[in-house]
This record gives sequence, structure tokens and C-alpha cells, in this order.
Amino acid sequence: MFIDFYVRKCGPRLADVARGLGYSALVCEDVLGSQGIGGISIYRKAVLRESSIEKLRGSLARRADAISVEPMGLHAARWAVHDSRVDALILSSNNYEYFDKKQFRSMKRYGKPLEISLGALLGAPDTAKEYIYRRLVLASAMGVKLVIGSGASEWNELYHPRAASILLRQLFDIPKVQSILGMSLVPRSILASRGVGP
Amino acid sequence: MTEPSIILAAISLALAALSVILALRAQGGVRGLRSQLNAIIGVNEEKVVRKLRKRYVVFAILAEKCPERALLEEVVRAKLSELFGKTAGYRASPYLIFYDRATCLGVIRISHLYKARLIAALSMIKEIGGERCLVIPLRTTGTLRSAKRYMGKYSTKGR
Repeated sequence: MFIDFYVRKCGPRLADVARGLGYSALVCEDVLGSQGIGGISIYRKAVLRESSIEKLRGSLARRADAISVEPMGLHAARWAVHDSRVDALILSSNNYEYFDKKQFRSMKRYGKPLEISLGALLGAPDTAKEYIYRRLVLASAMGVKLVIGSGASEWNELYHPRAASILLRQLFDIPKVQSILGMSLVPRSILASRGVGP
Repeated sequence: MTEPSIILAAISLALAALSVILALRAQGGVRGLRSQLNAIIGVNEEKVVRKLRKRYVVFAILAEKCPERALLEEVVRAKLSELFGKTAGYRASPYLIFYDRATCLGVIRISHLYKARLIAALSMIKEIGGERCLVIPLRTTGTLRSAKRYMGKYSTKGR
């Protein structure tokens, strides 16, 4: 039922633990082994970190089941919303200043979800968390869809879906319903739009 | 009774009801009226602190080697204080009431106001005593008896 939209490194142990936690699919940047490890569906993901439109355009030629962009410049952030090859935009401690009202308004108009990685978010410095918190509240209030990943490289970096939704509610005031949808319906619809899906 | 008198009685009843409704609205409802009456009579209306209820959170630990009880309790308290402050740490009063090292299952008793914060803190624990682990909150119950019953069912079903 649940899909972890961002796992850095997928291995058999991680896939096994994820299946036990209730995940039916993982979207991985780096897969160690073959697809369908441990009875759980694995999809490949490309994460593009570019600051300029030209470099981003070049990188988007990459093939993957899901493509997320972590914009490192304002122009890249604005342009990535309009490109249909981009599935989600990542908010992190390195690029929060590019996510403003205008950005969220465009993302809402073009139906681009905002992706957050739990591991990166919780490990961010406190000053960055302050800015990220305000942006998450703004995105939530403006109705921008959220998609959530753990950013795990090891099996113990995964999060139980129910615990993750409570964690996001307690620390970042993200409504429980929105976080549950971000781990289920939203990633499922992204994968379905690409013609793949659990 | 004649017809005009019945009509007059009905009208006066309706007017009386309307005046009661308007008076209540003006005074801030029944509560507002009661507090004003209490102020006149001299009743102390200090806010009553409600009794703290307990909740029992059943959890499982995924690790190569299950940690010791004392270490686990210390880590849980530390994480709760780290995330939500020292005030939350002592107000929540988390207590590892039951822990089975063989099955890595346990029950933490917590104040009902801090249940969600405890679950958030448990999910943030990624290592205990240098060993990698994952703490999974399974169920929240109102009594220790139902928590133990759930633990029994969970360990019988297998993980």
C-alpha cells in the first residue's frame, strides 16, 4: 500500500525490512541487485541536482521510472515546474530559498508535487529547519501535493509509515492525511503516469 | 378558555422563549450566563486541571542484538527531551513498563497528552549503544492488559 518515493541505495536487507514495515514498492536511486528484491517492487529513480536550465535540459534525457529535480538555482526551479519529464521537485536544506509563493503557485497550477526526504529533513541544521518549516506550512496551505521518501541508504534509516506521518505532524505541522497520501496515492499516481506501478 | 385568550397565551409564550434565547446570546451562551451568576454568588471558577490518563505504546525493535532495558529507556527519554524539550521529557513521564529482550517487544507507559510525541521520538531512534536498530511503534492501548494481549498475539503470529 505504501511507497517510499526516495531510497538512496536499495539492497535485499533494506527491501526485506521495507516489506515488513508495509511498503509495497520502493523508488531507488541506486539498486544493488535485480528488480523485485525480497517480494517488493523496485523502481529506478533519477535525482537531478542542477543550477542552470541548460544543464538540467541535458540531464533530463536520462531514462528512469521517476525523475526528481533538486533545483540548485532559481531559474532551474522555475523551469523544472513546466517540464513534463520532471515528476517532483525536492525541497532540501540546500535549496529552500528558491521555493517561494510564486514557485508553489506554479507547482499547484502544473500539478507538480513537492518531494521531501525525511532523512535529509531531520538531519538538516536547525537554522535550515526553520526556513523549511515555513515553506512546508506554506505549501500545505496552498494545496501543493506532497510526496515523501525516507532517503535511506541502510535498512535502519527507513520509517514506519504511520510513525512517519505522526513525526511530520509533530515536527512540521503537516496534516496526517496529507502525509499518508504522500506515501501512498501521490507516488502511485506518479508511477502510473509513467506507465509503471505496483 | 376563549380563543383570543389561547392566542394571547401562545404569543406571550413565544415572546418569553425569544427573550430567553436573546438573553443567552447576549451573555455568551449558557456558560457565559453561568460564569456571571457564579461571579455574583461568589463561586471560585478556577479552571479545573483534568486527570492525566495513561496510554501504553507497544513497540518492536528490529536489530541484530536487542538492547538492554536500562539503555533503551535512557535512549527513549533522551530522544523525547532532544526533540520536544526537557519540559516534555518530564511531563510525559515515559516509563518502560514491560520489555522482553528475547522477542524485542516492549510497552512504554506515557501520559495521554504526549502519546504522539513518543511515537515520533521512537521512530527517530536509529541506533542504541552503537548498534543499528529500528524501533517500530505497533499499537497504542488504554490498559496494560490489552497491551500485553496484543504483544502475545503479535509474537505468536511471528514477524
